Amino acid sequence: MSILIWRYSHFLLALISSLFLIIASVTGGILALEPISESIQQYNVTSINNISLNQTILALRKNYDEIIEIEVTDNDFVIASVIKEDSQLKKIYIDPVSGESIGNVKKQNPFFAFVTNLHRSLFLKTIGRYFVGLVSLLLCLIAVTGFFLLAKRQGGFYNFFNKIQDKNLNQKFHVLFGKWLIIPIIIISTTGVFLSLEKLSFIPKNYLNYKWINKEKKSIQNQSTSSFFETIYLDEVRTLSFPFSKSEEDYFEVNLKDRKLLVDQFSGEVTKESYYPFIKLATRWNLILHTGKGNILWSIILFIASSSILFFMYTVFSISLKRLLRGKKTKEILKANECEYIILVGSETGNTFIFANIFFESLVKAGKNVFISPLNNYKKYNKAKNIIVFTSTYGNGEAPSNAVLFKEKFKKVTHVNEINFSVLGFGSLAYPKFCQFAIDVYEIFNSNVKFKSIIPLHKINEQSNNSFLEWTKVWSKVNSIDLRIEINNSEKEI
Amino acid sequence: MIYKIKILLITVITSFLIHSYSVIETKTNIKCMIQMTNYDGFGAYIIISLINPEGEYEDTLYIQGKDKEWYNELSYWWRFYRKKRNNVDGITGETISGGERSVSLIKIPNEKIDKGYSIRFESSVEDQKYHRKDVQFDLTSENLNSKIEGTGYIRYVRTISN
Repeated sequence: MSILIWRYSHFLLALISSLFLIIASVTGGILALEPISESIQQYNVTSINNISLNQTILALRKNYDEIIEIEVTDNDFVIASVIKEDSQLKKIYIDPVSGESIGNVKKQNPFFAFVTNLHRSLFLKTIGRYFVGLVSLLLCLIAVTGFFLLAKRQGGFYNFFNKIQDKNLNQKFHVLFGKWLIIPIIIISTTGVFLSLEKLSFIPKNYLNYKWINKEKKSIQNQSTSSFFETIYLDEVRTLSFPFSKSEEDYFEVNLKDRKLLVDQFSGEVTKESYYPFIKLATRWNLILHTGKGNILWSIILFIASSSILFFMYTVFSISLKRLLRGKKTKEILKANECEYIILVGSETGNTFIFANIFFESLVKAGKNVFISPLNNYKKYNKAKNIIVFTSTYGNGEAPSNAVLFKEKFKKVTHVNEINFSVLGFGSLAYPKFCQFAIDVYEIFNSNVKFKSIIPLHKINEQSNNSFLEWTKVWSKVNSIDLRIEINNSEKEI
Repeated sequence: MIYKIKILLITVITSFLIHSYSVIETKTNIKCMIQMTNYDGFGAYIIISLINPEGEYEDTLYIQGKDKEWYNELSYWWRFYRKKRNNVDGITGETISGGERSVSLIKIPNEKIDKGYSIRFESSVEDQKYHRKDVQFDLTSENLNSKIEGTGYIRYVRTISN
């Protein structure tokens, strides 16, 4: 029963969110290219982990009238906001050793800006942000439900990464990609939810409370060097804001990767220090994981994962369409209570249904009253003399989705007449529990006194036509019915 | 005679030169720091404008916020800006959020200083109140080196001219 809940919630969630999900994953895929395009610009001229902050400050002072801020990006580029001789405030990439400009910081590419906006809020401002946040949450739930389905299918969590046994290509790739991309997709969606919550102010902001480190001892000296800045290397730095004026109340504000400091501009000593609260660091990590900033490899994974969401949606669409078409082919011409021959089907992908339908057609041609129905609809059949079960097995010996209710229903029904039964199992020898569900069904019927087994359980590997024909020969002989089986191969390949 | 013509020519040319120089307005650079209060929510859009003695918008000096779709939220300024739609790329910076500060450089024509003009900072945050006059001060030489308290998302503005 639980498998049905996972299955339907997995499918329903995907359906509801599909439109928004298409937008989010297309734009997400495009945006994953942005960090890649950024990092292939070569503004990281030297490795920054052996250049002290002091060295860069001194080099910049030589070149520019005034420095407002130094920033180290996730790609290890060093950006300085400086005022040049022409009194223009400029943001430039610099060589941290010489302090010289190696390029202007450009505005975000208008195309990426457009896509970012669409990705964040669908151009619907605040409401759009709620939608996107909700879609992220749904994607997260889809991924989790998919994970449980996959685990069931593979026969438990331990076998999660085992080889996939599936002949249908759509289904095979849905499962194959799902297996490898489930972790990136869960990361994308949960960080997306977090960032939405953060942006929409659901996550409390913690403002830093500085601790005074030492009393201000003012030994006014030349501000060109600071023993503290000697000890800090550029790879630890995010930003350094220079004092706004020469006034005593203005400090150097240093944002390091883990803490924030105020440094006295005259003595060069640290006067206040504060470590970032957990939420601030968590927000940062979420942002990095979600956007792939500063890490090409992760950006590529994000790109693949985003694009794969589109692929998943396509495969699901085609799998569902196929099931829908096959379901329509099930003929219920006569009422259940008028038929002597009852065909019960347990089918996951619809392939078993094809065989059942072929058998159904030939029985009808032979002039019999035949009723065909999924195992889930098992009930009392008043005129039944013969029950034939066609069933596959799901995952590790479990019932396929249209047969999960059978065991329960069987207990509730008591038949008056004696009925002959036979069971035909479909499966693959690649699974350890080959045709296990068919075996179970056989046992259930066999242990009930009203049912009489006319031929032993027959198992068919990989939908073998020959094996099926063999069984029909035996069955028609036992029942003395002349069956003409016509297998149309094209039907099997829909 | 030729001498006189020469003199005339030179005086005409120099007077033209002097005149054209006086037409090129000289500007004062003002370094301006905005310190935000610890409010919750998105980055604030802030517009710095030059206001004429009649209390009307004369020029846009600086815009913090790059997404033009939000500009109409700053409704008073928007009414002024939407008619002109000048190119503001050169005077546009990033938004800043609660507790943060930013430094920008604005340029003010010298002739407007001490002449009854004022500088206005208006601010707006997504889904929150719009502060039409978060900070406003008279454009006097004294105020160009000072600290002015804000009434909305801005805690204070500091200025230095050079």
